[in-house]
Amino acid sequence: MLKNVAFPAKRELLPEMLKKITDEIDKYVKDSKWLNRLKVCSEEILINIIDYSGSDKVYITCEFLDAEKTLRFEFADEGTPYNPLEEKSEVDIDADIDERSIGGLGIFLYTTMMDKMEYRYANGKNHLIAIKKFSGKEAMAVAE
Amino acid sequence: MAKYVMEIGEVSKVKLHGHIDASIAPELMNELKTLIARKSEIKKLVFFAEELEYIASAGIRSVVFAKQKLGANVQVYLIGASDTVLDVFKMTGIDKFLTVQNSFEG
Repeated sequence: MLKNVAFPAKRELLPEMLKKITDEIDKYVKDSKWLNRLKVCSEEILINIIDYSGSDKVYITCEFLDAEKTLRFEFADEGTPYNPLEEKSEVDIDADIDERSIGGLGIFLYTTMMDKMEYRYANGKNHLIAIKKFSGKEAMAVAE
Repeated sequence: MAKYVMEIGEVSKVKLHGHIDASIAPELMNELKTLIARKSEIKKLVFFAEELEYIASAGIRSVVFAKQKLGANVQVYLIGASDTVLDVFKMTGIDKFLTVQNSFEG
């Protein structure tokens, strides 16, 4: 479990943050497609915080709720209050290539892949919570 | 020496490899800009992805950028991508604009 692990909000530390997260989720998720998807989602959220929040630090929580076979991520920062979930994603995956916006892909990916996203601002921090519930053979959770 | 672009010409070749996360993707984008500057020479752009372990939206944006700048007459290929890499391309819908092959067939 990662509990509120702090990193300086710097682009060059993104690989280190992602390694910390993937080392953690690797304990629970055995499906390579979902391991990769969760890493992608984490990156998209982290890079938005790093690039746009103005926060010096980013705080990462990742926990597996065994009874619910659920992975819960929480990304917090001390930047400008901002709810990314209010951003209307302009990604139209059926649009022609020349009409495809090259922005908005990140939020599109994590809101599509995750089962549930929540935002709240509390105690001077933005908190973005991402929930992925595993069922059946979609991914094999192992928290013996 | 370029890290990704292997060859610029009628058939231009780019080798995607390792982890292309947002901290790395600007290097790929810069190399693609150099390639696009010679777009009049290019008929096909081939992204070899056999050694690509990971890509997120920042890397995919570079591929979209290249496809948009080169225009409809240049065919863009994605070769040998793993299932996990291809999964991310498919989620964005970008795979539809690429010729996806296991090995480059021309």
